[in-house]
Formats: sequence, C-alpha cells, structure tokens
Amino acid sequence: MRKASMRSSCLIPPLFILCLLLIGCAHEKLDDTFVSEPYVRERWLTYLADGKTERSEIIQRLGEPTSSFQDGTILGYRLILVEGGQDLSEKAYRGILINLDAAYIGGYYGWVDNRRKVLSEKGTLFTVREQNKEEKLLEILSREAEYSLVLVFDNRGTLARHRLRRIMP
Amino acid sequence: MRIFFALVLMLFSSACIIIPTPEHRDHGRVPCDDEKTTFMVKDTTNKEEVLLKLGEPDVVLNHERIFVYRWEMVAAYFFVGAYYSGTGGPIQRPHFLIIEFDDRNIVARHEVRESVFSSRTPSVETFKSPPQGSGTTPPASPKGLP
Repeated sequence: MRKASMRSSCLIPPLFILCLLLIGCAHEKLDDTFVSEPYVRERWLTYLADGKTERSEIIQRLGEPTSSFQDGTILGYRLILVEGGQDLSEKAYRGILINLDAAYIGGYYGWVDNRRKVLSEKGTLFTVREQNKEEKLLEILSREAEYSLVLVFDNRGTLARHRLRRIMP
Repeated sequence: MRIFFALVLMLFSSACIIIPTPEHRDHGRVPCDDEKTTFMVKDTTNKEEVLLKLGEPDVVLNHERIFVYRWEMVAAYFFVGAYYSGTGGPIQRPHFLIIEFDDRNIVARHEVRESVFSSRTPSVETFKSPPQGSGTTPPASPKGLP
C-alpha cells in the first residue's frame, strides 16, 4: 500500500514537467463570429430580400457585378472583407501579412480575432472586379475573408433567390 | 555509378525532410470536394443551383459551358535545415472541380481532379469534352466518381 503511494508520488514531478513543456503547444481556436455568413449578411446586406429587392438597387449599392450568367439573370459578386476608408499602404499591408502568417503558423489567433472585430465595426465589403483587381491588389491579398454572393433575378428584374457563401478562409 | 549518385543525393538532401500527412485544409478557399457536391446529379441539377450552392467559379470556359473551381489542400510538410537556421512549410496540392453543362444549362459531367505539382496540373484542354464521334476515349474518372 505504502509502496504504491510512493510510486504514484514519484510520477508527479515528471507529469508536472511534461505539463510545463506542453504549455508551449497550447492552441487557440479562431473565432469565426465576425466573418460568418449570418453576421456579414446582417451587418452589410440587410437590404437583400427575395421577391422585393430590385436589381438596380443592388447594383447601386454593390456596384457592377464580378460576373454574370445566363444572359444576366444570375449575377455574381466576389466580396472581400477589408479595412474601410483610404487605400491600404504598403507598410500596413506588410504588417497584416506578417501578423496573419505568425497567427496561422503559431496557432495564436489573438491578432486575427481582434482584426475581425475591428473590421466588423469599421471594415467594408468590397466588390472585386476585373477592372479594379490591380488597383486594389494589396487589399485583395490581405483580405480577412472572401465571399461569393450569387443573386438570381426573375424576368422583371426582382431578386428571386440569393445566397452568400464564405469561400475564404 | 548508381551508388555514387545515391551518395551524392544523400549528402545534399540529408538536411531535408518531407512528412506526408492526410490531406487537410490550411487557410485557403473552401473546398468544393465530394462532400459539398453531393447535391449535384448528372442530367438533373441546373446551373442556377450549382452557382447558389458553390458560389462563383474560379474559371468559366466555353461560353459558360464549363465551370472550374480550384482549391488547395496541404498534402505534406517540408523542413530544410542549414547550419544555424532552417525553414519549412506546407506542400499544397491543388484540386479542381470541373463541371460541364449541356445546352439546357443542366449538369452533363462533373469530376474532381488533383495534382501535386503545377507541371501535372491539368490543362484547359482536358476540361473539355471530346467531340461527339471523334473516337477518342474520355479521360478516366478519378477515384470515387462515376
């Protein structure tokens, strides 16, 4: 009985050391709340209503679509979640990439979670098109999330069905 | 000669290691794999449904007859050691979902292709169906697809 208790007490120090070493392997979970489809829809796309919203209103708000199918009855918008306001500077872009790399490689997502929170308040959903790809290259490369919004219109130009899908990350 | 070549190769690659892993997503485009395409039925599903479920394709060919979705999965990790430094990273494997529609905008063919290196990436030509009556055999279906 005594031997058994001695044996178990001998195990405590190695287990303690093991725990200390494993602290370095701790992994955070990335918070998807602010980039989830329901949140983005509620935050930026509340005006989209099947059977109500007109094609002209959507184009007025989101600009020309990224792509168009079936003679324009289906429109596609490639939307990226990025910092609002002025164009991104190269310094800011580099900072974002370094922090993103560090977060995804290291598994510590505090910086990413904070960026997502800031973007949910001050960010913008930007429509990427062939025409603006070059001038918004830094924003595209450092986007926090990317979505595909597909809109199907009836023959009167009213939104019949739509779907927002997060395609990155 | 072979032994000499093997020795030289070992000498230069002794600090390199590649660890294959089960395929997993790192942080790129959401995969359009078999799990996401179960809704698609040949001769039944239409283009509208495909677009609503999968989003915009990455490539559109032949006047909307062919859609291509591309995503990458991590297939392995490499590590290279030097004197007092080293580097490493994931090895990505590109995947392609190719969907072909008929004249009525109904899915006529769909398949997933994959490749490790860009030199093996399928060319645009392989995405196109062989012309009717040409006698050429269509490309083999990948594993697990009809």
